[in-house]
Amino acid sequence: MQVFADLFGFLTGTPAMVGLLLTAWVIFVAADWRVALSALLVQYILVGLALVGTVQVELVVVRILTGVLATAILYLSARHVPAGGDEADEEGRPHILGLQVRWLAGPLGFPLRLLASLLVVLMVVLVFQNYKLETVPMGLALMAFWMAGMGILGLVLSGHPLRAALAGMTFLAGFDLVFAALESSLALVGFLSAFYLLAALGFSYLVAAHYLVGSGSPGGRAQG
Amino acid sequence: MTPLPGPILLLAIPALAALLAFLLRRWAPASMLVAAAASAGLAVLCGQLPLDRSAYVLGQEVAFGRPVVIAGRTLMLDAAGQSWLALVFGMAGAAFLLAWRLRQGRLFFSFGLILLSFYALVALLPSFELGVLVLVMGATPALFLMQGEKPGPVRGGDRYFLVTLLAAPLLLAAAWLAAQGQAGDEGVGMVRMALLPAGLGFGMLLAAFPFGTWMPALTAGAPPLAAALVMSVSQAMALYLAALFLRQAPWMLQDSKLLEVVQFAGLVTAVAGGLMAAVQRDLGRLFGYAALCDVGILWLAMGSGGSQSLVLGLQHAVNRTTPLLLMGACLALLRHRAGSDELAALRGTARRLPIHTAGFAIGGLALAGFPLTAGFATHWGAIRAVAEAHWPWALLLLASSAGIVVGLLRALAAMLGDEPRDDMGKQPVVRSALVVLAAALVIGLGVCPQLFLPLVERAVEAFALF
Repeated sequence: MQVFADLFGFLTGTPAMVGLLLTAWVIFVAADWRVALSALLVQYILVGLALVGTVQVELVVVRILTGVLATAILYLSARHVPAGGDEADEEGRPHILGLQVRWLAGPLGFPLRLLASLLVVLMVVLVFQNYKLETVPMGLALMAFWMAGMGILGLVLSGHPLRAALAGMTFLAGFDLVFAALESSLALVGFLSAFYLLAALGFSYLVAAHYLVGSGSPGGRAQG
Repeated sequence: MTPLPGPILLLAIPALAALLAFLLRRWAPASMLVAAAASAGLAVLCGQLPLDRSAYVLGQEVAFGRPVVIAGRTLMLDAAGQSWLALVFGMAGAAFLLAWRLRQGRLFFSFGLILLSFYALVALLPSFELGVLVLVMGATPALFLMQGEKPGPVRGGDRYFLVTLLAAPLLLAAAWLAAQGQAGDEGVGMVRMALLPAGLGFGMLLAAFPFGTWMPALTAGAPPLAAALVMSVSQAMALYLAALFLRQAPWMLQDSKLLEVVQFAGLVTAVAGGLMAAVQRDLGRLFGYAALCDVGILWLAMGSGGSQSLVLGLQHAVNRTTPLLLMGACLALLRHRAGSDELAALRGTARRLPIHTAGFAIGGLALAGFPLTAGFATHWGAIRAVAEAHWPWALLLLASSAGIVVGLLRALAAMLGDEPRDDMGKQPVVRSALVVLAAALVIGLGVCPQLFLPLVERAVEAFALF
């Protein structure tokens, strides 16, 4: 148990912040929905870990559980949509661990996505120069700005509801990082959790509805 | 016997009626009757029952203003919430009634009622933050409500959903900043910092340009009455939250620069909507852009300043509901009968369905603020308030109204065609009678615009902003 406690203590600091930095970026650039959705799951766990020490542990657990459930809701829809988005699996492409390797992720290719994420870095640096809020630790605020920026960028560039869902949930998780440090009301945490779950449900519905028409099978079940 | 508390009624009746409407979804008339009766009944209860004492309803004692504690939160109806809910339930009841035998999707009635129970909870919750979250949560049932007969993409629904979702963090941040400003030493500075997120958040909820582009997308693809219901009821509830927020910082209503920004947002929205309405090639988008233009007037009314701005704004929100629902009901039948709402496909429709064509035109004229229609009085009030400071703005607003009229004339010209369509059935009797009633109300509100004024004034007075 001590090993777990030590690991937990280690992860709550800088590693959680670096993890959040990476997961938000992976969600934005990953071409395969399974990678992006896994990154979202890890992101929710890291959001919880990053908040340890700032909010009560019980509320951290609630946040992690909410994130896991929201990811599961999205997964249930995404697994019915071929390639989880607008690009179908192509023959002859290399695979790593069963995941297809390709450049295209949404309407932009990888290089352009990389450039776009660099723009978010610049924006975050610019916004952060005037940061004054003392009630929120600097690290949390920095990560929140980064996640919100990546979320907004993902929403702007998303051509498919699943990509919009991942971007939207990243934006909301970024907001939660700051808001958790500001508001500790139990009722608000409960309502926020319900809000995230309903948001995931709504996105999930949009993903399924989008595919039903795209497949030309009104009311029909999509192929897995 | 213990009297029934009001909050329980307001939450349980729509929820139970939703369940019943869902079970009856294959029998649309029965489902419609359940939904319309529940909404109309709740509208009457909210409009008539006193908050300070018990009253008897069908032999049962009801304490409408009595608080209830659920999961540690106190739910209580205050005078503002009561008047607002009376209006919202009334609007929804009218929408359900107009949906008589119109194919709006099997989930229209049940999810419409679920949406109403969310909105009832917004009015019952004691804090602005929780109200925002519940209102935004309502976007998910609204998505199901917008689903038509066949499963498919909810055009515009995804935009509506995203915009509504993004409004929540902004409004929560604004509320926190405003609360800090009131509690701390930095005072007005913090409250001023709240203006940007609050403006963006309410801009999203109240469809200010460019956030309102979901409206034409929605009316182009979703069932028209469902779209009209969302545009009227959800925006009325957003206005309620705006009033709640202003209660925390009433000085905003006196800040001339802020009011000018609000009015400018309204002007841009109205002009964009009006100009785009003039060039549309399908009735759905024409409806959506006309509604967007009308939202601009709502912003202008809210920004007109003084003690009457909220009255004018809410009065407009109430009066615009009738033309929105009228247009929605007419569009639903026209689209269904013609198989499309593109102008090219509607040739000769007006000769077969004259009442619905006329109803659509009357609703459009009301959204343009044409004299003797429901929109005229509030359009006139907003334009007069603007003209005092910026007369060119008034000209632009008149041009935007003219844009809607041009769009309507183009549509009418196309719908008249050269000869009647033989492949189309005649006017349905009951649906035509309902359209005539709604059109009469639109014109009646033009002749007697103060019909709902007492209820509106009661709602605004209850906020005690002045």
